[in-house]
Amino acid sequence: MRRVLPALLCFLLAFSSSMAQNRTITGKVTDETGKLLEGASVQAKGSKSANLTKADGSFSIQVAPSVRSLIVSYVGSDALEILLTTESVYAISLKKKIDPLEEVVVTGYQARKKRDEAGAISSIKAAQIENLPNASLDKALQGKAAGVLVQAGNGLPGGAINVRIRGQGSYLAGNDPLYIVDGVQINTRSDGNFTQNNPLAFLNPDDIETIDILKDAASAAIYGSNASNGVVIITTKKGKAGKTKFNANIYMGSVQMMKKLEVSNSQEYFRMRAEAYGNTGNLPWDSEANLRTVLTELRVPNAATMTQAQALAAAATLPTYDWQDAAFRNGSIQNYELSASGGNEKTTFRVAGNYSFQEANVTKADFKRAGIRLDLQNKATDRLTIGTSINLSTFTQNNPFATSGSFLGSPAFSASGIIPVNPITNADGTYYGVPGQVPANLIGILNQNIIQVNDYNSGYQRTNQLVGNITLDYKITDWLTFKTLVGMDYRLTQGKNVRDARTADGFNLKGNVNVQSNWNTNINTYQTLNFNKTFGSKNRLDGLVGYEYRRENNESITANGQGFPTYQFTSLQNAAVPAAVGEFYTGFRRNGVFGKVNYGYDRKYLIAFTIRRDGSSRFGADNQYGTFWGVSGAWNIDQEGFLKNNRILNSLKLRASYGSTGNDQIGNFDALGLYGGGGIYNGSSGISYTQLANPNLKWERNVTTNLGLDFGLFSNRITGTLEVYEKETQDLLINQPLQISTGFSSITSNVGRLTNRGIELTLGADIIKAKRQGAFNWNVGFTFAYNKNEVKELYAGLQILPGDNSVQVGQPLGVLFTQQFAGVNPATGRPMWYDTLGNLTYQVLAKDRRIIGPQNTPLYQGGLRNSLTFKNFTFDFFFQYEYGRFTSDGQANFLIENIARINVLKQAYNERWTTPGQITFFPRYLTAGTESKGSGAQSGTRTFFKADYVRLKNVAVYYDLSPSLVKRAGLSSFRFYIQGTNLWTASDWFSYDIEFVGTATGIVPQTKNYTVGVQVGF
Amino acid sequence: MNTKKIYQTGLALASLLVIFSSCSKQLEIAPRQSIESTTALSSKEAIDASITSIYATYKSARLYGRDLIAIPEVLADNGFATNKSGRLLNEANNVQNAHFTGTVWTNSFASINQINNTIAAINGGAISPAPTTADIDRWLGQLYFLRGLYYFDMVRVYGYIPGAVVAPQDKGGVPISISGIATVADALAWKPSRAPLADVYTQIFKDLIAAEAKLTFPGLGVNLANKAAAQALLSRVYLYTKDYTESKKWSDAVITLAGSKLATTANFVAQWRAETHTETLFQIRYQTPAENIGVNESLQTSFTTLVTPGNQAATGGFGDVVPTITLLNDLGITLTGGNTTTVYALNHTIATRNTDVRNLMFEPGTAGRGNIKVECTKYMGKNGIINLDNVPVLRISEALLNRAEAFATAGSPVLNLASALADLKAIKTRRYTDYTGSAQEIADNAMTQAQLLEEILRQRRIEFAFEGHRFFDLKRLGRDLVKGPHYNNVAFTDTRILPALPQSDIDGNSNLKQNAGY
Repeated sequence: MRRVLPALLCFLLAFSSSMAQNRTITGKVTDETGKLLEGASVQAKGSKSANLTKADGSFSIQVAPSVRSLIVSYVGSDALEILLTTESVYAISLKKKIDPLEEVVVTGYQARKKRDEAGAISSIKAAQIENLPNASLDKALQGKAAGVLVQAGNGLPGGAINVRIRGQGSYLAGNDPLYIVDGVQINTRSDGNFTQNNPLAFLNPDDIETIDILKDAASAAIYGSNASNGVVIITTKKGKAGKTKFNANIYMGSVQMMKKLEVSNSQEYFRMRAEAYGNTGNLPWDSEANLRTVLTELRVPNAATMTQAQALAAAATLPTYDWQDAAFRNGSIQNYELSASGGNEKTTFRVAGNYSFQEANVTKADFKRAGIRLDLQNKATDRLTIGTSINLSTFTQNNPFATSGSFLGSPAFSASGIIPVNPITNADGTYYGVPGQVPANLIGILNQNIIQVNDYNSGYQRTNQLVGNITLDYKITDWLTFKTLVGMDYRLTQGKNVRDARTADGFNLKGNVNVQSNWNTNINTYQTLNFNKTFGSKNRLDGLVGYEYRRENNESITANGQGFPTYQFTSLQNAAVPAAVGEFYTGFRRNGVFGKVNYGYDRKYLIAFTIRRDGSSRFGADNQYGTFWGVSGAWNIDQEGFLKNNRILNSLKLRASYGSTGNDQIGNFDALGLYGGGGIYNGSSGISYTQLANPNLKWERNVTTNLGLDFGLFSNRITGTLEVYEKETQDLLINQPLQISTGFSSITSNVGRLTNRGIELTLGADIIKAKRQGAFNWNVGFTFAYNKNEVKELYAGLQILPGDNSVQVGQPLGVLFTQQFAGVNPATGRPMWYDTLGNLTYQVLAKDRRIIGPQNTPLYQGGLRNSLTFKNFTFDFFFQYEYGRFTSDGQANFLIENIARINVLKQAYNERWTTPGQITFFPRYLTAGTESKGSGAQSGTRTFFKADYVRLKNVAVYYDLSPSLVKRAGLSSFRFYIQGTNLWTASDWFSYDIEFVGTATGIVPQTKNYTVGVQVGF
Repeated sequence: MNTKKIYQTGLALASLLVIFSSCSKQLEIAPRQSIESTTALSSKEAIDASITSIYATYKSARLYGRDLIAIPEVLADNGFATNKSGRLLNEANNVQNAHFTGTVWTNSFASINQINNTIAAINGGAISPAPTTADIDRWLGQLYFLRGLYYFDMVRVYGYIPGAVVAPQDKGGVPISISGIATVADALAWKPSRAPLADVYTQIFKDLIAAEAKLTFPGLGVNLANKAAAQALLSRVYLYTKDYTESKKWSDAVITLAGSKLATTANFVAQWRAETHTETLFQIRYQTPAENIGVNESLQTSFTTLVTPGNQAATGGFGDVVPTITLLNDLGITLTGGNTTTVYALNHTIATRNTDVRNLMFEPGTAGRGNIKVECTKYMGKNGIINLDNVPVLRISEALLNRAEAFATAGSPVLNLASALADLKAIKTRRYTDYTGSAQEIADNAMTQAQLLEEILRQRRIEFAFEGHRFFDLKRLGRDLVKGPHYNNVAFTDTRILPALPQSDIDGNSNLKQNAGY
């Protein structure tokens, strides 16, 4: 009845309006967050009829029949034109005028308006990362903040992500940024033995309100020793006073293989194997002896006595089985979230729960997370506010066979290379080629039936994590506040991995089971005194002084048992052989005092000074403490008289900063001289000198100069930020090589210097700006970053770091330094390289190496986001790109070998050298792969390729039910959406995926995901 | 909030601040798996544990775990690489840089520094309670033996062997370090050059002779250093350096001490199936499952696909290195179809064997990793678990062959063909079931000096096949690597006889000269 009534009313009103002259339009005006607006102006277009909204946001206005639309406006919001229909009740939501400089950014123990900040800070809002099917938030950052390079290591849900802010600033010390969730510094260890557990996977990305990234040293200096690689500050969603709001969000979808590799069939495999034997033995490939040898290898009966013709005929009928089809699957994604938030003037709260499930496209890797969150704020008195935020989560991952590497049993590695003659199952449906049967394995080096192996093996890794804090704010006077936070990040990672007794790796051991239990306790606390005082009308002084302490302990135990009674037993309790036990402990301590002063004059001129003195247990006794500082200034030019009310340039700000930060991401005990475990022998356990003491070991120091310009044009239709920086790393932490004949390979030492120089551009534009609600609107966001890394100095005048020639003065860290491949000699099919003089050679020497290009990080990278809205539809799509690095794909390297010991890519087969005169990059086949007095066929740049790409990372279509319909349904919002990720890539990469870090050998490739979802507020 | 409450809160907050900022021990944390280095070697137990670690290093797959055993077989003419896992393929092809890598250097020098620091601690007198003379002899005996063996293994790998030197390519032996490095300053200042070959061998003799004097037999047993092991090693090192008088002297000594351990035709096979071969004077022991090198690089997996001898149904390892045709010929094994390259490429079955019991250590493997090959079964998980085998380093039979060679080599001060033949026969009667009175014995009796020497060397090849001797035996005699019909030959003058020193040490130290050709 409730729903029928308004409809009836509508009908009546519509009927009456055709009879009467004027009609009454009523409604409510809210801002985009749903807050009711008082004093908004509602005007009938083309008439003088106008009214203001009341305290509850409601309005009522009489309009003439000729009036077709209302103009609704409010201070600080964009005016909106509402087309009138036959309806007479309207719910109008105004969008805040976007002035990016008025947005609040979290800058480290403080939240400030961007206009008042002088540092280089990128912010990402919830809307940009919502509903992306990512297990951890770092993946969602990809392409969204200029200068923040995010590379997925693989496609494991919950797997490792590589995040680099403004390039690689350190050689030995870590390059990971500092992550802070609601004031708690998060541990970034990944301690799982059996699969990767991303340290940020505990948090549901949809619980995030904003992510602020401090990029320059002056901003980050407040975090001192931890901040060299930038700081990522994550603020979660909080409750607001008002009616309790519920939000439900559900999405589900499918995970699919991005690309299947095209590999050779059995006849092609036979041919190349025969060629390998022929070329090695100087025989024609189809000589009888060769054919017999290959057919014998392929287990063709009676092959040893076949004539040439019989052998060729037998080869022609070899079947081909597709192991990739058998190994890869379509996985599923499910995600359920429910939250409630609200409160009153005294107390606000938000509670949220989530369950998320995602499968990789290879068995058995998956990710299952359940989490609950509670945020509570209570104003105990006018002066005292207490709060807490608690995140409890548990995630369980089924183990893949291996996260990477050339393991025979790993489907991600072996599926493409198994010789295709091997059937997957026998005629009776049982697995082919498994231990204990005849034959007991597959043909070839990749001789494990990976389907059987992954069917029978089991294992999981479960991570239980608690991240929480208690905060207390006490307003001592109206300009001075004391804040304290005690935070804790506790994580328990437990896992078990079973190599089943029926599989190749477990058969001879009668089962092999490993278990692990690792617990990490990370506690941090800070106390600050924040002040904020205005002198006169124009002078504003704010800032803080504080103290922080952090301790982290990490412990684990492991055990390995073998010899189980039957395959059904996998409990270590049943193991006959207790093969190994292990225990591990490490930890660190840090403390620091810090202060920051911001002075602003008339909001035009800003200057800030930051200082922090930090101690870390990781450094030598003589150098545990370091001091870091930063100074920054900004000029809000748009506040000057000459620019005020400028019609084109409506916002302009110039910023400059200079500061230093530190890096202590080295081994926890690297400064100490240690005797540690020296192996066991003859029933005794040994000790040996494992590390020399270096009491001088100290911080690596980063000094950054940053210049920034923020601008807004045409009423902020175009906004942008341009940053130019130079970041110099001094006292570079390096594993300084020692002569190995000292008995030690290296010491951790502060030697050398490197720089990162770059430009970052962020642009946002309303290409088409909707004037009316529901009209077409097209908004784009674009990020671009260029970073050039250069090693400036090593030690003792060295130009190349001994033992690691990817570190060279004048070159980027990790430069590719190797011999240039010159293709294949058309006459002989032998691979060739260029020597130092540029002449062709078969055998390369160390001196033939030359600089090829950057290897680890791209020169240019960024993203392009488009958001189109029309009526109730929103269409978002997002591209990311990288340009300017070389990399080698370990998986593909196996698949382009010229040995034919495993299957190869069809392209490699088609283009292999077979005939004199042929010009190609694929050498002739040989059983050894290496020509006599030649270098290995894969030497030098043969396996390195440019890794440039543009990828359509994400596409989403949203449909929002119109407010009136929503209301009638008794809801406050209703959104339906479809998303796709990794849909299209422009790149000629020839392996599974171009997006990987390190080696791609045997990694679970990234996937294409499709999801559909609904988001309901009530 | 009343004034009192404000005051209380303020006090509480202030005390919190004080608690958190006044604690001067906030940055203290100590590791738990390691201890402070300066005081580590101050007890008897610590010295014993330090010595344990030096033995343990030898278990590495880069030393006796695999490389010192398997690589000499493939570099020379004993081993054919099957490409079943792809390992050791380039070594068999004598590809430039496919050789002993820098890891022998790395592991050996780590142990040598450990030895030097331990000797310094023993001599430093800061051990409590004070050790007895017996303690000190036991420690120093082992430490000198181990230092001698580490230096010997390194110098025979990276340098030429005295008496068989390609002079223009001789860059010397290895740096000699006999005092421990224990500070960063010392480590940074250490920029050694390669000591001349003679100096390195002099140091080895010095250590081994000192060890021999302090050790006893059977003493600590064959898993640890003992007097017989030191004597046998002296016999070998002197043979390498062509000091035949000394080689004979130490052979005499060890044969007197341990000659009775020689196996016979009747128990030869059983000895190789036992955890410890009776002939062993010194072996590297692998005892617990945790010490297992595993399915990729253990000696069992390197040499055979079999899990147990005679059972072709169960596949274990890769069987990466198998006997070449010439080794099969010397072993007296004939494949069905004959020992030809064509037959060799197909599945192997054995047609006939001669009466040499040593060829029973070779049999067809499984089809699990590709075509069946005749494989070596000296390492068959003898310690109860697949891939877990003790590795013999010194066997008493070597002393006989060393002495025979010292007697039979032209120009030897102890040249004595009759004694050489006697030693040769001592071996052959214990290896050929029908040797005594056979046509072979009659032919042996008629050998010239040259023939006798060749037969001694051939017996050495058979006796120690797949035990890591062959490449060094050819190298010490300056012989070419004759690798047909499988691979191209490598002349002794070829730079591929020597491996590269670790490039990082060359880059960081201008005093250190790289071997020729790298």
